[in-house]
Amino acid sequence: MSNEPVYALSLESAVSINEILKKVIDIACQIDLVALNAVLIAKRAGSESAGFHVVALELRSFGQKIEHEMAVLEKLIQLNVLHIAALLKLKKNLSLLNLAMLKNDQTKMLLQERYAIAEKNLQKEVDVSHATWDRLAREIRSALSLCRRGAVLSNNGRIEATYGKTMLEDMQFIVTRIDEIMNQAVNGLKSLSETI
Amino acid sequence: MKKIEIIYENGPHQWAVITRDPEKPDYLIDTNEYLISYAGHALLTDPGGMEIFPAVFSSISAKYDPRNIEALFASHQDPDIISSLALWLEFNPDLKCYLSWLWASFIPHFGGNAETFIPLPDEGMHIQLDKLTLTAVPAHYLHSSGNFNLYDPKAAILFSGDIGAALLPPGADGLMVTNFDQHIRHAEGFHRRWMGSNEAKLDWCQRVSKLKIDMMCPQHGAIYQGADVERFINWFAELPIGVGVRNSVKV
Repeated sequence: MSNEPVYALSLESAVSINEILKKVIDIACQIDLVALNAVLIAKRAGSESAGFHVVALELRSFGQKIEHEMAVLEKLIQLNVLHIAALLKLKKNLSLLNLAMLKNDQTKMLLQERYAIAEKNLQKEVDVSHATWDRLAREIRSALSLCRRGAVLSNNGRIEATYGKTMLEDMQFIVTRIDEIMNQAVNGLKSLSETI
Repeated sequence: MKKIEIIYENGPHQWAVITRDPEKPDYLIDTNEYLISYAGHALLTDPGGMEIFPAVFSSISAKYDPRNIEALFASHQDPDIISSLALWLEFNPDLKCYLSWLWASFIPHFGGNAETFIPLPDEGMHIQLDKLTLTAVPAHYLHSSGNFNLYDPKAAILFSGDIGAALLPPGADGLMVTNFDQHIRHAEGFHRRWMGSNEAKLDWCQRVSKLKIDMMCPQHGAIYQGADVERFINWFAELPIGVGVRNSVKV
Protein backbone atom coordinates (compact mmCIF):
# COMPACT_ATOMS: atom_id res chain seq x y z
CA MET A 1 0.00 0.00 0.00
CA SER A 2 1.51 3.34 -1.00
CA ASN A 3 1.49 6.03 1.68
CA GLU A 4 2.81 8.83 -0.46
CA PRO A 5 0.77 9.51 -3.55
CA VAL A 6 3.02 9.63 -6.59
CA TYR A 7 0.51 11.62 -8.64
CA ALA A 8 -2.06 14.24 -7.86
CA LEU A 9 -5.09 11.98 -8.27
CA SER A 10 -7.42 14.80 -9.15
CA LEU A 11 -10.28 14.63 -11.60
CA GLU A 12 -9.06 17.89 -13.17
CA SER A 13 -5.66 16.43 -14.05
CA ALA A 14 -7.21 13.15 -15.26
CA VAL A 15 -9.55 15.14 -17.54
CA SER A 16 -6.66 17.30 -18.88
CA ILE A 17 -4.60 14.20 -19.71
CA ASN A 18 -7.66 12.55 -21.22
CA GLU A 19 -8.27 15.51 -23.55
CA ILE A 20 -4.64 15.58 -24.80
CA LEU A 21 -4.66 11.81 -25.31
CA LYS A 22 -7.94 11.92 -27.24
CA LYS A 23 -6.31 14.35 -29.71
CA VAL A 24 -3.20 12.15 -30.00
CA ILE A 25 -5.37 9.07 -30.61
CA ASP A 26 -7.41 10.88 -33.29
CA ILE A 27 -4.31 12.00 -35.15
CA ALA A 28 -2.30 8.78 -34.76
CA CYS A 29 -5.17 6.66 -36.05
CA GLN A 30 -4.94 8.50 -39.40
CA ILE A 31 -1.60 6.78 -40.05
CA ASP A 32 -3.18 3.55 -41.24
CA LEU A 33 -5.21 5.32 -43.94
CA VAL A 34 -2.23 7.40 -45.12
CA ALA A 35 -0.08 4.23 -45.17
CA LEU A 36 -2.72 2.52 -47.32
CA ASN A 37 -2.46 5.43 -49.78
CA ALA A 38 1.32 5.00 -49.76
CA VAL A 39 0.93 1.30 -50.74
CA LEU A 40 -1.46 2.22 -53.59
CA ILE A 41 0.87 4.93 -54.90
CA ALA A 42 3.85 2.57 -54.73
CA LYS A 43 1.89 -0.03 -56.74
CA ARG A 44 1.00 2.57 -59.37
CA ALA A 45 4.65 3.66 -59.56
CA GLY A 46 5.69 0.11 -60.46
CA SER A 47 9.04 -1.61 -60.18
CA GLU A 48 11.12 1.57 -60.27
CA SER A 49 9.91 2.50 -56.80
CA ALA A 50 10.44 -0.89 -55.16
CA GLY A 51 12.14 0.79 -52.19
CA PHE A 52 9.14 3.05 -51.54
CA HIS A 53 6.86 0.01 -51.80
CA VAL A 54 8.82 -1.76 -49.06
CA VAL A 55 8.64 1.32 -46.82
CA ALA A 56 4.90 1.71 -47.57
CA LEU A 57 4.26 -1.91 -46.50
CA GLU A 58 6.26 -1.30 -43.33
CA LEU A 59 4.18 1.83 -42.70
CA ARG A 60 0.98 -0.19 -43.14
CA SER A 61 2.02 -2.71 -40.54
CA PHE A 62 3.22 0.17 -38.33
CA GLY A 63 -0.21 1.86 -38.73
CA GLN A 64 -1.90 -1.29 -37.43
CA LYS A 65 0.46 -1.43 -34.44
CA ILE A 66 -0.30 2.23 -33.70
CA GLU A 67 -4.07 1.56 -33.87
CA HIS A 68 -3.68 -1.28 -31.39
CA GLU A 69 -1.55 0.87 -29.07
CA MET A 70 -4.08 3.71 -29.25
CA ALA A 71 -6.96 1.32 -28.45
CA VAL A 72 -5.06 0.23 -25.32
CA LEU A 73 -4.50 3.89 -24.35
CA GLU A 74 -8.17 4.73 -24.95
CA LYS A 75 -9.33 1.95 -22.60
CA LEU A 76 -6.80 2.96 -19.97
CA ILE A 77 -7.71 6.64 -19.90
CA GLN A 78 -11.39 5.77 -19.54
CA LEU A 79 -10.54 3.44 -16.68
CA ASN A 80 -8.35 6.12 -15.14
CA VAL A 81 -11.15 8.71 -15.19
CA LEU A 82 -13.60 6.13 -13.82
CA HIS A 83 -11.36 5.30 -10.84
CA ILE A 84 -10.60 8.91 -10.04
CA ALA A 85 -14.31 9.84 -10.22
CA ALA A 86 -14.98 6.94 -7.82
CA LEU A 87 -12.25 8.32 -5.59
CA LEU A 88 -14.00 11.70 -5.51
CA LYS A 89 -17.19 9.99 -4.33
CA LEU A 90 -15.39 8.10 -1.54
CA LYS A 91 -13.54 11.25 -0.44
CA LYS A 92 -16.85 13.10 -0.23
CA ASN A 93 -18.34 10.34 1.95
CA LEU A 94 -15.30 10.41 4.20
CA SER A 95 -15.34 14.19 4.57
CA LEU A 96 -19.05 14.09 5.56
CA LEU A 97 -18.33 11.43 8.20
CA ASN A 98 -15.42 13.53 9.42
CA LEU A 99 -17.61 16.63 9.72
CA ALA A 100 -20.14 14.66 11.77
CA MET A 101 -17.37 13.30 14.04
CA LEU A 102 -16.12 16.80 14.73
CA LYS A 103 -19.48 17.75 16.28
CA ASN A 104 -18.88 16.04 19.62
CA ASP A 105 -17.06 13.16 21.33
CA GLN A 106 -20.09 10.89 21.45
CA THR A 107 -20.63 11.16 17.69
CA LYS A 108 -16.93 10.60 17.17
CA MET A 109 -17.07 7.42 19.22
CA LEU A 110 -20.16 6.16 17.40
CA LEU A 111 -18.79 6.83 13.95
CA GLN A 112 -15.12 6.00 14.29
CA GLU A 113 -15.50 2.35 13.29
CA ARG A 114 -17.50 3.37 10.22
CA TYR A 115 -14.91 6.03 9.46
CA ALA A 116 -12.08 3.49 9.62
CA ILE A 117 -13.90 1.26 7.10
CA ALA A 118 -14.54 4.21 4.78
CA GLU A 119 -10.89 5.23 5.07
CA LYS A 120 -9.79 1.69 4.20
CA ASN A 121 -12.09 1.66 1.15
CA LEU A 122 -10.68 4.99 0.07
CA GLN A 123 -7.11 3.75 0.40
CA LYS A 124 -7.99 0.66 -1.67
CA GLU A 125 -9.35 2.90 -4.44
CA VAL A 126 -6.27 5.16 -4.17
CA ASP A 127 -4.06 2.09 -4.71
CA VAL A 128 -6.12 0.95 -7.70
CA SER A 129 -6.00 4.49 -9.15
CA HIS A 130 -2.22 4.65 -8.72
CA ALA A 131 -1.84 1.27 -10.42
CA THR A 132 -4.00 2.41 -13.36
CA TRP A 133 -2.09 5.69 -13.55
CA ASP A 134 1.24 3.79 -13.52
CA ARG A 135 0.05 1.54 -16.33
CA LEU A 136 -1.13 4.57 -18.29
CA ALA A 137 2.27 6.24 -17.84
CA ARG A 138 4.03 3.07 -19.09
CA GLU A 139 1.72 2.79 -22.12
CA ILE A 140 2.27 6.47 -22.97
CA ARG A 141 6.05 5.90 -22.93
CA SER A 142 5.64 2.80 -25.08
CA ALA A 143 3.41 4.71 -27.56
CA LEU A 144 5.98 7.51 -27.66
CA SER A 145 8.77 5.12 -28.51
CA LEU A 146 6.58 3.51 -31.21
CA CYS A 147 5.76 6.93 -32.73
CA ARG A 148 9.48 7.82 -32.76
CA ARG A 149 10.12 4.64 -34.76
CA GLY A 150 7.38 5.81 -37.12
CA ALA A 151 9.23 9.10 -37.62
CA VAL A 152 12.34 7.13 -38.67
CA LEU A 153 10.22 5.09 -41.07
CA SER A 154 8.77 8.21 -42.68
CA ASN A 155 12.30 9.55 -43.12
CA ASN A 156 13.18 6.34 -45.02
CA GLY A 157 10.09 6.94 -47.11
CA ARG A 158 11.30 10.45 -47.93
CA ILE A 159 14.63 9.04 -49.21
CA GLU A 160 12.91 6.35 -51.30
CA ALA A 161 10.43 8.89 -52.70
CA THR A 162 13.27 10.65 -54.49
CA TYR A 163 13.31 7.65 -56.88
CA GLY A 164 9.62 8.13 -57.53
CA LYS A 165 10.01 9.78 -60.98
CA THR A 166 6.48 10.62 -62.23
CA MET A 167 4.99 9.76 -58.83
CA LEU A 168 7.52 11.88 -56.93
CA GLU A 169 5.01 14.58 -55.99
CA ASP A 170 2.40 12.10 -54.69
CA MET A 171 5.02 10.21 -52.69
CA GLN A 172 6.40 13.39 -51.17
CA PHE A 173 2.88 14.49 -50.23
CA ILE A 174 2.27 11.18 -48.46
CA VAL A 175 5.60 11.29 -46.63
CA THR A 176 5.01 14.91 -45.54
CA ARG A 177 1.57 13.94 -44.16
CA ILE A 178 3.09 11.01 -42.24
CA ASP A 179 5.76 13.36 -40.88
CA GLU A 180 3.08 15.79 -39.70
CA ILE A 181 1.08 13.04 -38.02
CA MET A 182 4.14 11.55 -36.31
CA ASN A 183 5.36 14.96 -35.15
CA GLN A 184 2.00 15.86 -33.64
CA ALA A 185 1.66 12.45 -31.97
CA VAL A 186 5.26 12.54 -30.65
CA ASN A 187 4.85 16.10 -29.30
CA GLY A 188 1.56 15.25 -27.56
CA LEU A 189 2.91 12.02 -26.04
CA LYS A 190 6.20 13.67 -25.06
CA SER A 191 4.47 16.45 -23.14
CA LEU A 192 2.26 13.84 -21.45
CA SER A 193 5.16 11.57 -20.50
CA GLU A 194 6.87 14.58 -18.91
CA THR A 195 3.72 15.58 -16.99
CA ILE A 196 2.39 12.21 -15.84
CA MET B 1 -19.31 1.57 -17.69
CA LYS B 2 -22.26 3.40 -19.25
CA LYS B 3 -22.46 3.80 -23.02
CA ILE B 4 -22.49 7.21 -24.66
CA GLU B 5 -24.23 7.57 -28.00
CA ILE B 6 -24.88 10.60 -30.18
CA ILE B 7 -28.59 10.77 -31.10
CA TYR B 8 -28.59 14.10 -32.94
CA GLU B 9 -25.88 16.02 -34.74
CA ASN B 10 -26.09 19.15 -36.86
CA GLY B 11 -22.86 21.15 -37.12
CA PRO B 12 -21.91 22.48 -33.67
CA HIS B 13 -25.16 21.17 -32.17
CA GLN B 14 -25.32 17.69 -30.62
CA TRP B 15 -27.42 15.56 -28.30
CA ALA B 16 -25.76 12.53 -26.71
CA VAL B 17 -27.32 9.97 -24.38
CA ILE B 18 -25.43 8.30 -21.56
CA THR B 19 -27.19 5.04 -20.81
CA ARG B 20 -27.33 1.28 -20.13
CA ASP B 21 -24.67 0.45 -17.58
CA PRO B 22 -23.99 -3.33 -17.71
CA GLU B 23 -22.07 -3.11 -14.41
CA LYS B 24 -24.95 -1.39 -12.56
CA PRO B 25 -26.23 -3.44 -9.60
CA ASP B 26 -29.77 -4.86 -10.10
CA TYR B 27 -31.22 -2.91 -7.17
CA LEU B 28 -30.43 0.40 -8.91
CA ILE B 29 -32.79 1.73 -11.60
CA ASP B 30 -31.05 2.46 -14.90
CA THR B 31 -31.10 6.08 -15.99
CA ASN B 32 -30.57 8.09 -19.18
CA GLU B 33 -28.58 11.29 -18.98
CA TYR B 34 -28.60 13.62 -21.99
CA LEU B 35 -25.74 15.94 -22.87
CA ILE B 36 -26.79 18.83 -25.09
CA SER B 37 -23.82 20.61 -26.60
CA TYR B 38 -23.57 23.63 -28.83
CA ALA B 39 -20.25 25.05 -30.05
CA GLY B 40 -18.30 23.76 -27.06
CA HIS B 41 -20.93 24.72 -24.44
CA ALA B 42 -22.81 21.89 -22.79
CA LEU B 43 -25.75 21.23 -20.49
CA LEU B 44 -26.44 17.89 -18.80
CA THR B 45 -30.00 16.81 -17.99
CA ASP B 46 -30.80 14.86 -14.80
CA PRO B 47 -27.16 13.92 -14.06
CA GLY B 48 -28.23 11.07 -11.79
CA GLY B 49 -27.43 9.84 -8.32
CA MET B 50 -24.19 9.99 -6.37
CA GLU B 51 -23.70 6.25 -6.79
CA ILE B 52 -23.54 6.43 -10.59
CA PHE B 53 -21.43 9.61 -10.80
CA PRO B 54 -18.18 7.74 -11.73
CA ALA B 55 -19.94 5.82 -14.54
CA VAL B 56 -21.68 8.93 -15.93
CA PHE B 57 -18.60 11.15 -15.67
CA SER B 58 -16.22 8.67 -17.31
CA SER B 59 -18.67 7.92 -20.15
CA ILE B 60 -19.03 11.61 -20.92
CA SER B 61 -15.23 12.01 -20.82
CA ALA B 62 -14.84 9.33 -23.50
CA LYS B 63 -16.40 11.64 -26.12
CA TYR B 64 -16.65 15.14 -24.62
CA ASP B 65 -14.61 17.44 -22.46
CA PRO B 66 -16.57 17.56 -19.19
CA ARG B 67 -15.04 20.98 -18.49
CA ASN B 68 -17.43 22.31 -21.16
CA ILE B 69 -20.48 21.43 -19.05
CA GLU B 70 -21.81 24.78 -17.84
CA ALA B 71 -25.14 23.78 -16.43
CA LEU B 72 -27.23 20.93 -15.08
CA PHE B 73 -30.96 20.67 -15.62
CA ALA B 74 -32.89 18.87 -12.90
CA SER B 75 -36.38 17.89 -14.05
CA HIS B 76 -37.35 17.44 -10.38
CA GLN B 77 -35.90 16.68 -6.95
CA ASP B 78 -35.56 12.90 -6.78
CA PRO B 79 -32.26 11.24 -5.77
CA ASP B 80 -31.88 9.41 -9.10
CA ILE B 81 -32.15 12.83 -10.76
CA ILE B 82 -29.76 15.08 -8.90
CA SER B 83 -28.16 13.55 -5.80
CA SER B 84 -24.77 13.61 -7.60
CA LEU B 85 -24.89 17.44 -7.54
CA ALA B 86 -22.23 17.78 -4.82
CA LEU B 87 -19.76 15.69 -6.85
CA TRP B 88 -20.35 17.69 -10.03
CA LEU B 89 -19.72 20.83 -7.99
CA GLU B 90 -16.49 19.36 -6.61
CA PHE B 91 -15.35 19.07 -10.22
CA ASN B 92 -16.67 22.48 -11.28
CA PRO B 93 -17.81 24.82 -8.48
CA ASP B 94 -19.12 27.35 -11.04
CA LEU B 95 -21.67 24.94 -12.47
CA LYS B 96 -25.26 26.25 -12.57
CA CYS B 97 -28.28 24.09 -11.84
CA TYR B 98 -31.72 24.82 -13.34
CA LEU B 99 -34.60 23.48 -11.28
CA SER B 100 -38.16 24.31 -10.23
CA TRP B 101 -38.31 27.19 -7.72
CA LEU B 102 -40.31 24.79 -5.56
CA TRP B 103 -37.22 22.67 -4.90
CA ALA B 104 -34.68 25.51 -4.69
CA SER B 105 -34.31 25.13 -0.92
CA PHE B 106 -34.62 21.31 -0.88
CA ILE B 107 -32.02 20.32 -3.47
CA PRO B 108 -29.23 22.17 -1.60
CA HIS B 109 -29.47 19.22 0.83
CA PHE B 110 -27.55 17.37 -1.91
CA GLY B 111 -25.04 20.23 -2.28
CA GLY B 112 -24.56 23.68 -3.81
CA ASN B 113 -25.09 27.21 -2.54
CA ALA B 114 -27.13 30.31 -3.42
CA GLU B 115 -24.95 30.89 -6.50
CA THR B 116 -25.55 27.39 -7.88
CA PHE B 117 -29.28 27.43 -8.50
CA ILE B 118 -31.33 29.10 -11.19
CA PRO B 119 -34.95 28.62 -10.10
CA LEU B 120 -37.44 27.99 -12.91
CA PRO B 121 -40.78 29.79 -12.51
CA ASP B 122 -43.93 27.63 -12.77
CA GLU B 123 -44.67 28.85 -16.29
CA GLY B 124 -41.18 27.78 -17.50
CA MET B 125 -38.51 29.87 -19.19
CA HIS B 126 -35.92 29.95 -21.95
CA ILE B 127 -32.42 28.64 -21.21
CA GLN B 128 -29.56 29.91 -23.34
CA LEU B 129 -26.70 27.62 -24.33
CA ASP B 130 -24.44 29.82 -26.43
CA LYS B 131 -26.62 30.60 -29.49
CA LEU B 132 -29.02 27.75 -28.80
CA THR B 133 -32.28 28.56 -27.01
CA LEU B 134 -33.82 25.73 -25.01
CA THR B 135 -37.19 25.93 -23.25
CA ALA B 136 -38.05 24.58 -19.81
CA VAL B 137 -41.58 23.20 -20.38
CA PRO B 138 -43.82 22.89 -17.30
CA ALA B 139 -44.84 19.30 -16.47
CA HIS B 140 -45.96 19.80 -12.87
CA TYR B 141 -47.40 16.80 -11.03
CA LEU B 142 -45.92 14.53 -13.73
CA HIS B 143 -44.75 13.21 -11.41
CA SER B 144 -43.31 15.80 -9.05
CA SER B 145 -45.25 18.87 -7.92
CA GLY B 146 -42.46 21.05 -9.37
CA ASN B 147 -41.51 19.30 -12.60
CA PHE B 148 -40.06 20.39 -15.96
CA ASN B 149 -39.25 18.97 -19.39
CA LEU B 150 -36.61 20.54 -21.63
CA TYR B 151 -37.43 21.30 -25.26
CA ASP B 152 -34.90 21.96 -28.02
CA PRO B 153 -36.90 23.43 -30.95
CA LYS B 154 -33.93 23.38 -33.32
CA ALA B 155 -33.29 19.65 -32.87
CA ALA B 156 -37.02 18.97 -32.31
CA ILE B 157 -36.16 16.92 -29.20
CA LEU B 158 -38.08 16.91 -25.94
CA PHE B 159 -36.34 15.67 -22.80
CA SER B 160 -39.42 14.43 -20.98
CA GLY B 161 -37.99 13.40 -17.59
CA ASP B 162 -40.13 10.63 -16.08
CA ILE B 163 -42.89 11.04 -18.69
CA GLY B 164 -42.50 8.23 -21.19
CA ALA B 165 -40.24 6.31 -18.81
CA ALA B 166 -40.33 2.52 -18.96
CA LEU B 167 -38.85 -0.18 -16.74
CA LEU B 168 -37.41 -2.44 -19.41
CA PRO B 169 -36.53 -6.07 -18.74
CA PRO B 170 -33.21 -7.46 -20.04
CA GLY B 171 -33.50 -8.28 -23.72
CA ALA B 172 -36.11 -5.57 -24.33
CA ASP B 173 -33.87 -2.68 -23.41
CA GLY B 174 -32.91 -1.23 -26.80
CA LEU B 175 -32.13 2.48 -26.90
CA MET B 176 -34.99 3.31 -29.29
CA VAL B 177 -38.63 2.20 -29.17
CA THR B 178 -39.04 -0.11 -32.15
CA ASN B 179 -42.40 -1.71 -31.35
CA PHE B 180 -44.66 0.76 -29.55
CA ASP B 181 -47.32 -1.76 -28.48
CA GLN B 182 -44.79 -4.11 -26.92
CA HIS B 183 -42.81 -1.27 -25.36
CA ILE B 184 -45.72 0.57 -23.77
CA ARG B 185 -46.57 -2.43 -21.56
CA HIS B 186 -43.34 -1.72 -19.68
CA ALA B 187 -44.37 1.95 -19.24
CA GLU B 188 -47.96 1.47 -18.12
CA GLY B 189 -47.50 0.56 -14.45
CA PHE B 190 -44.93 3.30 -14.02
CA HIS B 191 -47.27 5.98 -15.37
CA ARG B 192 -50.37 4.74 -13.55
CA ARG B 193 -48.61 4.95 -10.20
CA TRP B 194 -46.12 7.78 -10.52
CA MET B 195 -48.17 10.33 -12.42
CA GLY B 196 -50.39 12.08 -9.89
CA SER B 197 -52.90 14.26 -11.70
CA ASN B 198 -55.23 13.53 -14.59
CA GLU B 199 -55.85 17.25 -15.12
CA ALA B 200 -52.12 18.03 -15.26
CA LYS B 201 -51.63 15.11 -17.66
CA LEU B 202 -54.31 16.33 -20.11
CA ASP B 203 -52.92 19.87 -19.95
CA TRP B 204 -49.40 18.54 -20.71
CA CYS B 205 -50.70 16.38 -23.61
CA GLN B 206 -52.50 19.36 -25.09
CA ARG B 207 -49.46 21.70 -24.87
CA VAL B 208 -46.86 19.18 -25.98
CA SER B 209 -48.90 17.94 -28.96
CA LYS B 210 -48.49 21.43 -30.47
CA LEU B 211 -44.68 21.16 -30.43
CA LYS B 212 -42.68 19.71 -33.30
CA ILE B 213 -41.05 16.66 -31.69
CA ASP B 214 -38.92 14.18 -33.64
CA MET B 215 -37.60 12.49 -30.50
CA MET B 216 -39.02 12.25 -26.99
CA CYS B 217 -36.30 11.30 -24.55
CA PRO B 218 -37.27 9.99 -21.09
CA GLN B 219 -34.98 9.61 -18.09
CA HIS B 220 -35.59 5.84 -17.91
CA GLY B 221 -36.18 3.38 -20.73
CA ALA B 222 -36.18 3.94 -24.48
CA ILE B 223 -36.47 6.97 -26.79
CA TYR B 224 -39.67 7.53 -28.82
CA GLN B 225 -39.15 8.68 -32.41
CA GLY B 226 -41.33 9.96 -35.24
CA ALA B 227 -44.94 8.76 -35.13
CA ASP B 228 -44.34 6.99 -31.79
CA VAL B 229 -44.16 10.42 -30.10
CA GLU B 230 -47.76 11.20 -31.06
CA ARG B 231 -48.76 7.61 -30.25
CA PHE B 232 -47.34 8.08 -26.78
CA ILE B 233 -49.13 11.40 -26.19
CA ASN B 234 -52.48 9.86 -27.29
CA TRP B 235 -51.88 6.74 -25.17
CA PHE B 236 -50.99 8.87 -22.13
CA ALA B 237 -54.05 11.12 -22.58
CA GLU B 238 -56.28 8.01 -22.38
CA LEU B 239 -54.47 6.31 -19.48
CA PRO B 240 -56.19 6.40 -16.07
CA ILE B 241 -53.57 7.65 -13.62
CA GLY B 242 -52.94 9.02 -10.15
CA VAL B 243 -55.37 9.27 -7.26
CA GLY B 244 -58.21 7.84 -9.37
CA VAL B 245 -56.40 4.53 -9.78
CA ARG B 246 -57.47 2.28 -6.90
CA ASN B 247 -57.62 -1.25 -8.21
CA SER B 248 -53.87 -1.83 -7.81
CA VAL B 249 -53.78 -0.65 -4.21
CA LYS B 250 -53.66 -3.74 -1.99
CA VAL B 251 -53.62 -2.23 1.51
